[in-house]
Amino acid sequence: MNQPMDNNLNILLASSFTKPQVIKRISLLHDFLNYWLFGSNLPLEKALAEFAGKDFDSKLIGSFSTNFFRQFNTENVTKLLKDLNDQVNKFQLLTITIPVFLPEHEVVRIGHYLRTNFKAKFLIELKVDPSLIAGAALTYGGNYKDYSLKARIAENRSAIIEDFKKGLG
Amino acid sequence: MIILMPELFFIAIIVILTILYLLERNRADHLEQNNLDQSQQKGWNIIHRAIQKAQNIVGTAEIEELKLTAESQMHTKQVEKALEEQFKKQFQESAANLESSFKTYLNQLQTQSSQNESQLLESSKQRVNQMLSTLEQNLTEFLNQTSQKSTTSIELEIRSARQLIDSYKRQQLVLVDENIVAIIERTLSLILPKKISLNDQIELVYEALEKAKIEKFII
Repeated sequence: MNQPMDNNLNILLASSFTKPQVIKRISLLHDFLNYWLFGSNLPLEKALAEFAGKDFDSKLIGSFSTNFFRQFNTENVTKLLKDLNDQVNKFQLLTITIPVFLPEHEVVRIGHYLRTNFKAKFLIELKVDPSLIAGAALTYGGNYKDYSLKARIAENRSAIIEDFKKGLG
Repeated sequence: MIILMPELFFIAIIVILTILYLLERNRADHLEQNNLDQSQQKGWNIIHRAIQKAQNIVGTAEIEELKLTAESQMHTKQVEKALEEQFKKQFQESAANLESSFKTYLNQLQTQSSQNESQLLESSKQRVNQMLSTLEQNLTEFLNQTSQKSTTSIELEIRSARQLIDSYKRQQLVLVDENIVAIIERTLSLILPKKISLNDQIELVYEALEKAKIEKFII
């Protein structure tokens, strides 16, 4: 892997933590570069301003710096985007199953926490399962670990039944 | 011989007489007619003597015959009487012996019959007793076995029923336990999401991630 590609990937992952987020960014980047390089014939800053004004999602293109876009041209754009896509697909997934939906900023916070506390590079996939009640269950590298309240109940099943029976008298 | 065959005797006489007659006649034919009277006289004398002799012979023969016949009849009667007496005596003796033997035999037979009857009766009695004893023993044994089998069968049934009840009880208890857990889970899943704030939920997610870090679940 060459240096520019690592930089591009780092730039892409800097504000993207889940696989759908990354795919969405790559798709947006692909749309913008097509627009800038093959459709608009506008200078980069003007093209960025016009593209960002299209819709709400297009505003995200502003999260990339202008220097990031200057490495692309009509000859290498396809290859660079393909390499970026391939690199993303090689990332492992950490599936976090939680009982409730989380707001986007909490997902970003969790993403930052994971980037800070774990050396491994991976993308997050969030799933919702209300039966977990509380806590989370994790799936990583083909392994599953349930840290939810449901698992706690299952682990302490006998004690809970005993307490329940005692409570009934 | 004469006595036994008087016809032959007469025929012989007749033949003799005829022969004599013919001889005389022949002689008379040969003789001269002259001697006819003499010869005839002589012939008649001869015939007369011959007849006398024949009569004598016949009389002797008849007497002998009668004598012999009488003797024979007498002897026969004596022999018959002796034989009859002997036979009668032998018959009486034999009858007496036979009667005695028969009586003895009958007595023996009766005695033997009595003995046999007694033995048979005793044997039958013993056999009946033995049969009754065997029957009683078999019946007792059968009753014991039946009782034991029944007891064993009932015990097995009871054990099986107990096992079934225990199994059912265990299954029901397991079901109850499962239901308890399910009820707790359901109650918590209904109540806790409302009671736990989003921040608490997020904190629990971080807690889970911390545990994963400590357990080195994510390397």
